[in-house]
Amino acid sequence: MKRFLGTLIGKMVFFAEKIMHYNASSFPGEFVLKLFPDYLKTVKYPKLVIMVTGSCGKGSTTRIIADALRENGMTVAHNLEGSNLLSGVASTVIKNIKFSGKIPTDALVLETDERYLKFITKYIKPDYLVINNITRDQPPRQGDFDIVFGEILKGIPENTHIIVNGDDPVTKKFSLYKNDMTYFGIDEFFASYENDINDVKDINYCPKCSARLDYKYRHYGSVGDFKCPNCDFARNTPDFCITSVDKDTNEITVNNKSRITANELILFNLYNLVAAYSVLSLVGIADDKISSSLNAQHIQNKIYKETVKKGRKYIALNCKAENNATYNLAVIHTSLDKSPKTIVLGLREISRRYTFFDLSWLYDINFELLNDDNLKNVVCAGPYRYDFATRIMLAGIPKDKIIILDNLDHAGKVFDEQTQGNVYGILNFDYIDPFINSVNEIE
Amino acid sequence: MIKIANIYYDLLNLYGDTGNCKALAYHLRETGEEVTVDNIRFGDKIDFSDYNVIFIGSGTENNLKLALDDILRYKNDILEYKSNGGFLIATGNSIELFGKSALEIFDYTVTYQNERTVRDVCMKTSVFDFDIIGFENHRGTIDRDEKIILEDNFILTYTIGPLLVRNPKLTDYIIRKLLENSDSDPSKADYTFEEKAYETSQNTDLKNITSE
Repeated sequence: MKRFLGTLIGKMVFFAEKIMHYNASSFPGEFVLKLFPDYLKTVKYPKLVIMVTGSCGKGSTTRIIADALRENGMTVAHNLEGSNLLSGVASTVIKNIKFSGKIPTDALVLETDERYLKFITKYIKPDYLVINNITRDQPPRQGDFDIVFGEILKGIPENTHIIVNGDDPVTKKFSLYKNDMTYFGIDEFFASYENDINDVKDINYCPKCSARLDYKYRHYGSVGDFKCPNCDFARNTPDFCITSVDKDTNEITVNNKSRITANELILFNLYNLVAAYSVLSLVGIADDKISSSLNAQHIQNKIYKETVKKGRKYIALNCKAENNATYNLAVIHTSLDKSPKTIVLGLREISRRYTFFDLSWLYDINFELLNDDNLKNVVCAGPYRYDFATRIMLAGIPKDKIIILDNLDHAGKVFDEQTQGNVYGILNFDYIDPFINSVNEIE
Repeated sequence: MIKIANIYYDLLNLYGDTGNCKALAYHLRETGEEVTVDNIRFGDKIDFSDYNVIFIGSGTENNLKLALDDILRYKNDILEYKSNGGFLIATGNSIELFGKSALEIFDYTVTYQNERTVRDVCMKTSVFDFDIIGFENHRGTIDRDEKIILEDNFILTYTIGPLLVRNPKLTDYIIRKLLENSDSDPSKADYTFEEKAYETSQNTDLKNITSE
């Protein structure tokens, strides 16, 4: 009865939102959970339930998995990006449930917030849980990555098979607590590096014995081919591994056999692809079918956008404020361009969740890597322009290269006339559109 | 010449604390002073008497425990360094290493709460004529009313930011003390960007975390 009423009320709230042109994806779920806190316990879930959690890329990975399952003939319910707390998951359930109490799809694929995983798995037991990565992210809310690790660990049900990034010692640490695991990873490729670039790393010491970890190569921070010199804690060969990346054709190979054309070779994209590949394979889809459904044309571009104006490339790199890993990858990507260049930095809001004034994470970004003669200008824009300018100055980049702008509205003329070389917008997602609009204004 | 060490650099580096060292070294160099910075890793020997300034920053609770086990052997060296006028700038939860049940250089007691302390900081002190601003994000608390401890040339605070980046006047104060017997001119340091950033944050409404 409670289930029926909950479903009815939830669907009515959805309907009311629709006719009022109001769109709050988590509200119907929130409303129903207030009335019936155990509503989710009463639901009959699909036979296949997959969850994805982690600091970056869980939304994209969820979408890739859901789309690929559909392409292979399954019906799938999945939550919209960001509706990843308990209320968002409840909304997804209400949207898809029948009055019989059953979600009629073949599969349910859920993006889940790292800290809310334990509340969600109390009601819904995933068959597979993908953990993309655990990095410094939203420190006022998350504390630190060790705390996030602990919260995820609490949320893994006993019979759930977990699929984690095997290149990251932080996620590899789950192997100290869990047995039934699959690892994905990426072998050394053109953006990897052998020598320490002296950036801030999340983990330097073995979680088992505290010896300093050795690396053959790194992809960023502490992610790479690591090995403890003292015990058996090591990357080893991942079960699903991108074994080659072709810079010219954008073709990647998984386990030396399956070829996929990626539409951008940004590291997080590659990890999202190989994470999705792993779970699709475990579910029983054949390699060639996985490859064809993961090919570039099917997957939306999100991290990277490029335009050419007057012979200069303008590249928008979508980063997340309060998450140094996304910025560091953008910095590494930018550093690979050895021609004259300009970078554009800025954000409108540090967080959408709270109003804390915490920009300490700017010092976990390795802007020092960009300090060379090829870097011609740095544009610092937005309400925090002087915080960015300070960071750039302290990276040793000469002050006369810094251009300060109140915001990025109509900044095309500044880019065109006052800066040199290719222009890399290393920007929080809320400054991507202003950047692209400004670039489009260049005549 | 000013010699700076950033200790437990690869263990205690949460929340951008390495920025403190960058800010001090950068502005000291502007004055014409020669500066060396040693990033000292966990387990490597620390020769306190060799330095003018020591930085130590925030870490995860596990990493703080590792650092505690290691730093205890330096208790006498640190006491001697303190009485000789050495600077030590401890930010974030690293201040917990210096209290009771740890190095016992200060007499505060650390207790751990279930809820973390997460807040913007704007504080007055009896020593400075400016407000110190920054951010706090930690689980432990100490039984002291003041949010920044100043004794000899030791500065200890839960405040991150980074502290010396957010508070250019504090950096200037430290640099002037460090250069008391030097020919380098502290007024050559240019804090324009930091000052403007300081103004921005003073003009921003500081509210508390919204519930989810």
